[in-house]
Formats: sequence, structure tokens, C-alpha cells
Amino acid sequence: MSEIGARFVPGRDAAPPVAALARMPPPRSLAGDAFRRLRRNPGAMLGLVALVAIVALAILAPVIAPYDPIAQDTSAIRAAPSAQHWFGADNFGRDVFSRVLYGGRKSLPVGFIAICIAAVVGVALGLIAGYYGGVLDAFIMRWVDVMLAFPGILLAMAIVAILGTSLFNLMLAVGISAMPEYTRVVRGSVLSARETEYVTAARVIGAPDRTLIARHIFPNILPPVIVLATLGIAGAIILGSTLSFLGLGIKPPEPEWGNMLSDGRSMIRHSWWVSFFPGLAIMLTVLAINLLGDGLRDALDPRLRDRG
Amino acid sequence: MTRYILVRIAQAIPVLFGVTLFTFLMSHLTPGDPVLIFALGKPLSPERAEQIRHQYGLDKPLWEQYGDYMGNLLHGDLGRGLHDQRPVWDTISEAIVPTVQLTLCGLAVALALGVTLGILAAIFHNSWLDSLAMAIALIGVSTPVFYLGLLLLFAFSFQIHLFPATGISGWKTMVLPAVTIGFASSAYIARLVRSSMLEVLRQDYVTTARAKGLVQRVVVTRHALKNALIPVVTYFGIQLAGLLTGAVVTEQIFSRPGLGRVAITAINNRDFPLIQGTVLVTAVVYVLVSLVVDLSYAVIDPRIRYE
Repeated sequence: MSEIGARFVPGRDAAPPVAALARMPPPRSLAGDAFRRLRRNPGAMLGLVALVAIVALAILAPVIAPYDPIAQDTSAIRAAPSAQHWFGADNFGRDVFSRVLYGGRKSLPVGFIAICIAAVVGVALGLIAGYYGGVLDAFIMRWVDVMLAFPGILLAMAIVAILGTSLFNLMLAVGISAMPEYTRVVRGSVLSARETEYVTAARVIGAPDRTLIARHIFPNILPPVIVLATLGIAGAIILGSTLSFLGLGIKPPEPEWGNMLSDGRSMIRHSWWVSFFPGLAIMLTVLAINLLGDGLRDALDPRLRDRG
Repeated sequence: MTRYILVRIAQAIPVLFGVTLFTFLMSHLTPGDPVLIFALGKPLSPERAEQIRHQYGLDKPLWEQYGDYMGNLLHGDLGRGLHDQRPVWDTISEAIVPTVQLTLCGLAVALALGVTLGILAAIFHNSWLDSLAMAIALIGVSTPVFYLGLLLLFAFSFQIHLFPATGISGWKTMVLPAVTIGFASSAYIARLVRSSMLEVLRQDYVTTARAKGLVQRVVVTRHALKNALIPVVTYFGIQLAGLLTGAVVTEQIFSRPGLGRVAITAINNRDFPLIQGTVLVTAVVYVLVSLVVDLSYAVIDPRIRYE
């Protein structure tokens, strides 16, 4: 047997000298690798830090907010930004800064939970369609095609029209309209993973479907799903606040970034701050998520792996 | 080529069927008895409920109702609005024109801005111009359409009075809405054009053109641009969804008539025939345009035909 390309087999070959072992690079995992690359990406780190800060502000809103977000103050009606009201006050004299902080407690979860719904259901359907194939695959994928035939906002509006407006229905509507993308991407990844030799090998030694899917196929589809979900949260926050802006989501007086913008629309001429700051909050959040998502994509894309 | 076209058309037919099935089922998927929809929230006596059920065929089995629905559709009958009793098709065909105009103007802005930014970024790769173009693109992708619309309205209508805030007559009323819609798409297009242009500029035939002594301008416009724009055509379907979404929101901001306004009013009134009609027509238009885009892509890029 030629020595070129030969593998070390315990019990057959003598153990390599300790010095050689010490020279070998430490074993690396995909997650560890990806995280190292992510940390070297200043844009992604900036996005991550900004996102953590935004989420923290929303969680701590009851502690930080100087005013009750719903309390009206007739002495502060349409007050311009000042030391008392950092972001000014709206036409009911409500503090815009406090409302923006509280608004994050609606807008952020809507995006996050909608994408959780979309990812969990979408991935499950994609796994089933890709792994089992046949009639099940055809049935699922035809429905995915039909759902993709509606521009996202239209599908979400149709679902709100069917179910009525509420916080949960808003999440469901945004989630369902984001779902088909996951099914399509996952199915594609499953189809190529199913044909790999290690999956065939695992099947040959008698591994059950459950093990094959969970241990051998699922890790393959995880990177694209993580990237899709991260960027998807940004899209879901925009779609959720768009629906609220159109009056089809969270209704006032409950503060939410989209409906605050809609409130301020009629007074933009004289009191720009009423809609400027909630809009800025959406924009900065989405910007932070996009920076992080782009970084994650670069970090998780195995094709870039060996390029330093 | 013919085979590709036929296959692609054959794929669109079940999708269109699915779309009709979805819009048909919409009124049946609402919580509660579908009869309540037609009563528009007013209390109903059992006799009146029975009457409505019979009038709208709700007493028939579901598959038969779907058959009737499809039969009416094929005759161009989308039913009547519950509020104004006007044929839904009349309301929609009236609203579709301004929406299409707005979408096309938005597309023009998106292409002009996106292709320019993308080319500049690629030619001056790794320069400050590249960074600036990509920063603009990142902001464009991250700005919600309704926020951009309001900012433009505030700046150009109320501060410097350059363009009117509302109205639909004259090109001046179109500028702000078109930019509002087109900006986000231009950001995607700029990113696409930049990366595909960088790819194309590395090709051998571009090196050959340079070696012949052609100047940069000719190399870019004559040799590289056409191939660099292919991905823009491919992603047009996705862009269209974005533009339509933008149109719905922009109509609301600039108080323009259109399909988006019809849909929102219909949803607020729970006017189901009108909601179903709008959803159906928009989806069908979207599917057909995507189909045309796919077919034209096969004409532009011969490689696709053999896949």
C-alpha cells in the first residue's frame, strides 16, 4: 500500500509522535469557526451591539421611560423636543420618547415571534417535502408555489382580513407570509444532503429516519436557515409595522412604532418629531439586524471558509 | 426553447388554480358563520340568514360553491361590493391603472438609481465611492417605505415646497411617490449590479477588450454592462413584489387612488367580495408578470434554456 494518502488507523499504525500531534491545529467546529469570523467583522459587531442595546431599551422601558406612554398631558400638546420631552410630545401631550421605548415592546416581538412561527413550520415542511419526496413533496411544494404567488404584504393583508386585527393575528399573518421561503430553501438543502455519501452510509447501517434527519441532515440546513431567519426578522419588523401603519395591526392608543408613525402623519407639517423618532427606531433596528445578518452570512458560508 | 416556454406555462396553471382556491376559501376561513359577512355585522333573524344563504349559494356543498365561483370568474364576474353594490371588477379595473402607473414609475427610479450606483461602485471598487454607494444601498434596504415617504413629504412638500403632497395630475405629483417606491428596490439592484459587474469585469473577454486598448467607458458600457444586468432581470420578480408592496403604502401616504387603497378600505369594511377580488387580481397579475419575466430571461440568457 502506498503511503501517499494513507490514513492513520489505530491498532494498525504506530501512534504519531507527540510532537506531530502538538503541531496539528486544534479541532474546529462550524459554530466556533463562524463566531471567530463574525468577531473579526466590525460591521456585524456594530450591528450586534446596537441590536442588544435596542432590545435592552425595550425590555427596560418601564424603568427608563420618564413618562407613562399612554398618559395625556394637556400642557404638553405637540411640545417640541426639549429637556423635558427629549423626542417632543404628540397631539395628546404624550411623551414620544417614552412611547418609542414602549413601542419596541410590541414591534420587536412581532418580528421575532413571526419569524419563529415561519422558521419552525417552514423548516418542518421543507424537511418532510425534501426527505420523503413523492406525493407529500408535490402537495407541499404546490402550496408553497401558491403562497409565493402573493406579494408578502398582500398575503399578510388577506390573513388579517380573514382573522381580524389583534396582536396574535398580526404575528401569525407576518409569520405565514414569510414561511414559504424557509420551506423552499430547506427542501433544496435536504435534497442535496440526502444524496451525500455519509447519509447513504448512515442509512446502510440501519439508522432510522428520525436519526438521519436529526443527526445527519438537519445540521446541513441550519446555516442557511440561521441567515434567512436573522435577515427575516428585519423584514418581519418592517412588515408588522407596515400593517400597523395601515391600521391593520396593533391599534392605538397602544404604542407601536408603525401606528405611532401613522398618528404623526397628519401633523408632519408642523410636528415632525411625532413620526420622525418612531420611524428612526424602526430604521436603526432594521439596519442593525441587516449588518448582523450580512456578517452571519459571510461567517457561515462554507465557500468562503478557507479564504482566511 | 418552445419546450421551456410550454413547461413554464404549464407550471403556472396549477398555481393560478391554487390562488383561486385560496381567495374562494377566504370567506369560509373566517371565524364564525360566513353568513355574518354578508350581513355586515348587523343582527340577523333566522329567516333572513336562510335567505342570504340561499342568495349567495352558501347552502350548497363547498365544492359546488367553488364550481360556481370559478364559473363566474371565467365570465369576468367577481361579484358585487357589499357596501356600494357595485360590480367588484369595475372598482378594481378603475383602481388598477394608477397603481400600475405608480409601480412603473417606481421601477424606472429603481433601475436608474440602482444601476448607476452599482456600476460606480464596481468601477471604483474599494474606493470611497464604493463605500458610499454601498452605505446608501444598506440604508435603502433598511428604511421602511412609509418612513421614507413621510420624510420626503416633510422635506420636499412642506419645507421647500418643491413637489405637491397630494394630487394625481401632472408629473410633479408623481416624483415623490415614485422615489418612495423605487428607493428600496434601487438598493437591491445596486448590490446586484455591483457584484455581477465585478464578476464580469474579471472575465477574459473584458481583459481582451482592455488589451485592445479600449477606454474604460467603452469596456464598461459596450462589453460588460449587458452581461452584468442579467441578474437584475432574474430578480425582477422579487423586485416586483417589493414595488407592489411599496405602492400599497405609498398610495396611503400621498392620498393617491389605487388598488392598495381599495384593499385597505375593503378590509376595514369587511367587504369580502371586494377583498377577494383585489387579492385575486393582484396575485394573478403578479404570477403572469413573473411568468413573462422568466420567459424573457430565457431569451436574454441562452444558458437557462438548457437547465
